[in-house]
Amino acid sequence: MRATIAAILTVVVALLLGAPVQGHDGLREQITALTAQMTRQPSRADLYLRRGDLHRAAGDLADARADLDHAATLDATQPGLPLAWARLQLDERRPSDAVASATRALAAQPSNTAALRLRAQAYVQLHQREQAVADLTRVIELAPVPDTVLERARLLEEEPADLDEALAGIEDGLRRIGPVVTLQLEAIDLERRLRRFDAALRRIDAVTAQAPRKEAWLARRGALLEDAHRTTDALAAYRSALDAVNTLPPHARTTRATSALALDLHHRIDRLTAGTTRPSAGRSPLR
Amino acid sequence: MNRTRLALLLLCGALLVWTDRVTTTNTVLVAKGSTWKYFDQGSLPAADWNTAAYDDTAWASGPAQLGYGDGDEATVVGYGGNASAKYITTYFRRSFTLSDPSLYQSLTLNVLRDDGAVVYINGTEVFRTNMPAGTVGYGTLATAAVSGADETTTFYAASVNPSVLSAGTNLVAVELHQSGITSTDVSFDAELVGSTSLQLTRGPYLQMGTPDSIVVRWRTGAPSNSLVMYGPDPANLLWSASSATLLTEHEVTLPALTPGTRYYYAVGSTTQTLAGDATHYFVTAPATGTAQPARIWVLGDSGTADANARAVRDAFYGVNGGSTWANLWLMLGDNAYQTGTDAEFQSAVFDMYPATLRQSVLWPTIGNHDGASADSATGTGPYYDSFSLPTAAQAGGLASGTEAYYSFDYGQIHFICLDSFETSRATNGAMLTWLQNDLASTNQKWIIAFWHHPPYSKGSHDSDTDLAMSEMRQNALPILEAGGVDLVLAGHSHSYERSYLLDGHYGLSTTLTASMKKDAGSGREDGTGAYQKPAGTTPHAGTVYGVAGSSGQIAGGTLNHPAMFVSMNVLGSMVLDLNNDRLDARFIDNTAATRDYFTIMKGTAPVAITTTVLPGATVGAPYAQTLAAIGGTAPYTWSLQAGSLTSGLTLSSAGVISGTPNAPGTSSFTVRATDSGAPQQFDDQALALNAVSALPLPGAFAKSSPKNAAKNQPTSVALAWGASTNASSYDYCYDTSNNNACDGTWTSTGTARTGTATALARSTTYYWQVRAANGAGTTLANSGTWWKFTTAR
Repeated sequence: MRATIAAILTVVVALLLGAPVQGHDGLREQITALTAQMTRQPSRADLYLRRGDLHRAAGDLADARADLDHAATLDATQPGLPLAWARLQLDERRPSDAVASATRALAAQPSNTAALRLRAQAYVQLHQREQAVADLTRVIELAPVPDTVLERARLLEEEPADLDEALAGIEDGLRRIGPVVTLQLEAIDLERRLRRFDAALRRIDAVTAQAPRKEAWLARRGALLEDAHRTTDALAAYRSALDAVNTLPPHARTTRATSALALDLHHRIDRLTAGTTRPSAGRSPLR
Repeated sequence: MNRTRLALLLLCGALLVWTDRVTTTNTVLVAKGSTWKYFDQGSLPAADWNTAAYDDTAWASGPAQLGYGDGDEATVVGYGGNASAKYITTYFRRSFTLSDPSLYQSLTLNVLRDDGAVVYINGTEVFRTNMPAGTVGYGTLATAAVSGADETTTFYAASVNPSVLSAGTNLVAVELHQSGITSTDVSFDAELVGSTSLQLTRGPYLQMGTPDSIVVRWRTGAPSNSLVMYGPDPANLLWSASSATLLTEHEVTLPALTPGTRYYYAVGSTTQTLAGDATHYFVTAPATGTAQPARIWVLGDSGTADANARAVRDAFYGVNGGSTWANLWLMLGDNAYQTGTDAEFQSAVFDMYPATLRQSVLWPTIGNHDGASADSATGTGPYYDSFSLPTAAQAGGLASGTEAYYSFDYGQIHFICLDSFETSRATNGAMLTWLQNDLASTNQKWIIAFWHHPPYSKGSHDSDTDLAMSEMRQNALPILEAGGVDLVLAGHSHSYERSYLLDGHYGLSTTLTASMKKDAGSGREDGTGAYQKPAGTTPHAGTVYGVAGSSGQIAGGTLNHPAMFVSMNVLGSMVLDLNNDRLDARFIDNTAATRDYFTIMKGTAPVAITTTVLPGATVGAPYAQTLAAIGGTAPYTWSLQAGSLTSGLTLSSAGVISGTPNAPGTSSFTVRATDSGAPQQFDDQALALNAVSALPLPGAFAKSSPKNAAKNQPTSVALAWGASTNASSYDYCYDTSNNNACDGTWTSTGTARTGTATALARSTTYYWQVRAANGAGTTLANSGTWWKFTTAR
């Protein structure tokens, strides 16, 4: 949500200042070069297809549509045409058409991960979550990367009944990719939401084992134990985190971030020692 | 055959043949200066013009060099007579005969082309140079105009798989393209050489260097097994690492190396040495965290494969004392123009920097042009095929699970490579989540981050209007600055731009304020002084941002971003020298002149006490807390400046508040930390310490249900007990052992005073107990007596 708000603010501020934000990357220059070539070779469908995709990337959707239409007129069998249409239709917020175009691309190339990802995005716009999940599942089978595994899990997490499946997907991702912290964090959060504290603790312990610095993970362990009302164990975890802070080299131990963590740990230990069960208010380095 | 035996056999074979190089016979199949058929009629001769089936008897012929306009041609070809609309493409064919193509293990094609060319052998495209990707027609223009030696004497080499050859007549066909219809000249010649031995066509080059391992990669023209011999000097390659798999892309990890040590090596197969002499060496990374001087070469947008890139390269070698070695080097993206194809990587990277590639580990990031042929979502394409990058923290840092973004350690430096092009830049995406955790996990003194799209630039790309640049600034910078990053390097804009020491500037260029400049000076010791930062990785202590995207070309822009101390459209590269607390950076132009320089010093910032709040103390309980400070020169001497400590506590000169409080209450006081530098500096900090009365153990309490020795209980029994004063939580345990101890597990109920014994066996006696807990300890119910109950039959 924060990312969305930030993106919206960027656009708003840019528009107010008369400076539109664009995904440019030299697109205008490429379009100019292609246009010059097309003047000499007006019957080449592939050039219209390429320029159409460039127009789309530059945000000129009407020009993109005209080029793709013309490319189809010249040669409707161009291999890249369905995927180019799907991209454009997604940008035009026409997800149903995008699904149809991506499906045509997949008919020719069933393992085209770009088409699968694109169709999944279109399904998301159509609120067809299950179909989107299915396409992302296939992408992960073909080429597992953390981003896709996370994207699929977050789609599933929208429905409380699918939390288990989301967790299973992350577990599968961890098995395919390796012990990646981004996936472990998501899994820990899911285990916590499912009130499976022991499983969450096992994951934290696994991450702690591979982390060069352990203090933050030990502190997370304490917070999780507090959530599970296991105050004695939580106290022990917080104390272990403090011990880890104290064994850091001086240049790392004395930084403001580490000092803030140590202070937060002291507060938590004090609170638990005093028998207070409610977490302290305010920002904590553990959250 | 198991792998160990196979490896032993490989090694034995290698030792037998390694010093006895295979006799190689090179046969020139098509010589330079050969006579070629050519078609210069301003059109495509026929769709099948590049196949043996096509009849070229009507074509003209003449010896190479063929072309016009330079005056060095043996045969002048036509351009149509209209100097302002010359023919774009000229076609060439040359046949040769082979009786036994299986003799050749490798083929090398050398092409002189002005401007671009596509080469086919027996109808199969084998080389494309200075031409766009995709379908090429008569009207396709070369990607760029060439000049100088490229027009007259420079032959571009390509390795060709000998499987394209056939017995009998073979055909080489070439289409030569102009970069524009008014271009003044055309040049073409070619040579094809067949070799009876294996040929090295790429590398060797080094990847994923760590203190105790390194990856050696190379490419051969035909499949072979892989062998690396290595040792302390070129004449003593004592050890070996190998792979029996037949490959053209060879990748061998050398394990169990000694940190900070020079090794010489040679690569090849078990039957042939392909490369290895006194210039083939590497130095392993120093042990992580140790202070060792390190020189780092930084290239951005270097993938032009032209005279510009060569000049920048040679300028660095010049300032590097003639050496091609650096501790490591970075490529900031757009490493291979225009679209990051394998052939473009060959010419822009592997043919451009062979000496440094074989000696120093290259760590690249992906640019938008590299990304045109690669896909970060699947980790595929020439960029990902060419490089071996850490996905599982093989070189330090946290595992990212992808080659698109990764981190590694070198000595005291933590490097972070991000993908600003294709991977999600969202703050809750995988990359930035990983970044946040990676930063939290590093102990390194220096942090250098690099990616392609700069957060601040007014060069050929504008960070106020470019989406990728804006998102990296808004989303990645707050995380990096909170993580204490010292230097951020990027390319994309084909200029050199370098910022002040900045913090907190995440908006458009117009939103930069004076307070965002932590140091608005030059960063130069002979100017306003080096940028000073506290020791360690202090959040928001300032970062220098560099754009170094002019290692292959320069272009446009207003060059007036207010965050930049200096901006210029000058070809060049950056050189970083790190040594313990000091980072020196220079921008070296293509004539080896230093055009900018700055220094970041660590640990010499003013003393600052970082302890601002003390944890509470308990009356009667030992208390010890060490105060912390940063900056200045450690060690610090601590003293009490005002107020008084809680009764029973003292402050030592080492900054430890210790003792046993003997009365409750809050004390307020001011401490001072004085450093040991000359002149001495100090910082004062007001603190408060609250001592509270000791927390008593939880009070006595009793179990209530089921009654002790209850019988005929069900297989699931509700347990209940009374309240304990001062308890913050309760745990219960049940088992079948009559030993007054918990042989199972204690299960917490939080503050609830009920629990359930489940899955009980019939006709069995169970023993159970409850304990109340708080920070002072635990108290067992019924003064420690366990109760029992028996389940029904």
